[in-house]
Amino acid sequence: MSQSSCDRCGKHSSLTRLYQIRGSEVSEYWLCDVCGRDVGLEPHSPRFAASVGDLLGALVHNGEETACVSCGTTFEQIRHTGRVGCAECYRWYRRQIVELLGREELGTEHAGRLPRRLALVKRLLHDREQLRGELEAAVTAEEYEKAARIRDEMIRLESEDERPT
Amino acid sequence: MSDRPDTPWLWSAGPDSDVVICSRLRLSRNLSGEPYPGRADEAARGRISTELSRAIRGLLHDQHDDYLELEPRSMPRHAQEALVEHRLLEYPLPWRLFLRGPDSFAIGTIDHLRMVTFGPGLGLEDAMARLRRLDQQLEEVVPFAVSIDFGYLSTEISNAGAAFRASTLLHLPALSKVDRVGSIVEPESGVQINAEHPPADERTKESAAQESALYVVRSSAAVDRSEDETVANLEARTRLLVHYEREARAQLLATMADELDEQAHLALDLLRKSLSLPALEAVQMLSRARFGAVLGLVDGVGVETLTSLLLLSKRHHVLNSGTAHDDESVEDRDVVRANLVRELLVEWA
Repeated sequence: MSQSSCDRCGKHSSLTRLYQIRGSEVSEYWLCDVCGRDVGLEPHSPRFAASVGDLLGALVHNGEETACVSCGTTFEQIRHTGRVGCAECYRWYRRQIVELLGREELGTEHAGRLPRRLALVKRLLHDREQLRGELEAAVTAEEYEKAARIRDEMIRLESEDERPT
Repeated sequence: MSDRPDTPWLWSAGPDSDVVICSRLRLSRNLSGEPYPGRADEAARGRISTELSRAIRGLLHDQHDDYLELEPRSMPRHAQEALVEHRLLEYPLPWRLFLRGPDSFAIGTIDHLRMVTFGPGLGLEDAMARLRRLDQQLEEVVPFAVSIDFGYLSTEISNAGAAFRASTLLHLPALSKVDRVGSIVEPESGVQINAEHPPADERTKESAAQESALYVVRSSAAVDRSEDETVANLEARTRLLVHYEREARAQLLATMADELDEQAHLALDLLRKSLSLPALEAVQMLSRARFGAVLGLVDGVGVETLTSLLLLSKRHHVLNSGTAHDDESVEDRDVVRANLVRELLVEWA
């Protein structure tokens, strides 16, 4: 997928795609070279790998009013009303919203029910994460038979994930 | 005119309905990829309303149920307010409202969709099962905005997660009489208790709430709590209030049965004979009469009748009965209210 304008300034320019990966959530943002430099990023520098969430948080704290890329809501408006303008606001202002809710960090999983399709994905992610931990522990303890069983279970989960729902 | 109101979930008998009048649950949902109502332009409103309306019509049509489809913003004010007082409608008024028995679907309020359902008495479990089924059926045909870590995404950030609220409506005349309502629910209990909205005008707000002895217990917002945990907590807190209310009733009955008997009979006499009945007096008398009826002190009138009258006698319900109009004076309304109560006490006896 490609995009024709910068998520920050809306102008058309040479764009760089950034991925924000937090746990199971992957968000995609596009910044032009000018905005990239504005926020202190040089192409090909290691800082490009920094979390986009942190990057955008830094923009807000620099006193520059950045609005949600999708609906234009500012964080000040969210803080004032307790309301966001669209679902994208939750990604755009993730860290600030978590803070506003009075939490240090969200758990990796929401506690309530989820739509059926998403619940399956959540179960797969959860199981995979748990198995990965167990695999590492088994390898560290040199329990190779157990590690092989866990590896097989992970492969089985991968194939379950690929099955059409 | 004097048909019993078509809202049996508000007044009919259910679990613990000597104390709990009804239970109410609400789920908020938003379509993925669309701005929320406060940010939606005309085109987005059209898309959201069309997509959700189609899905809800399909759902209700498949179940062969009768339903109403309304545009609340174009309804007369007294009709809007009657729906609000029946707890079928909330402000801000939605773009579109579907009503099917105890279930309602409001499109375009604070969120794209708010689904509400009721159960008579302490009927949280059945209502929850019904609401969950509706939610699951809708999610098959419309994509709701949700993330794995936040949960369901809603306009109000405090509502994100389960995007779920639950409440119970209680009649607590004994606890109210001994002034103990506030002391039973602790601040950290995950629920809040408030006097039900006043049935009379603002000037009499405080006393009306006290006299009606109607209270709402609401689940508090909690992003990290599941629907089932919220319901279980509300149910436990409500049961605690039910327990203490019954205990207080037994104590009052042991110490002042004659006085309660007299109060209930006087209240019922007044309701049967008044030619003019102000809202405050109506709720006071109906509350006393209902208290007498659940204690078995009065004959000839059912608890359900008094419960529905207690909810009916509010100002706009009277207006909506078809005999009064928006431009009538307070005195006129009091006469209409008295006529209505007198007639219904005979008809529903």
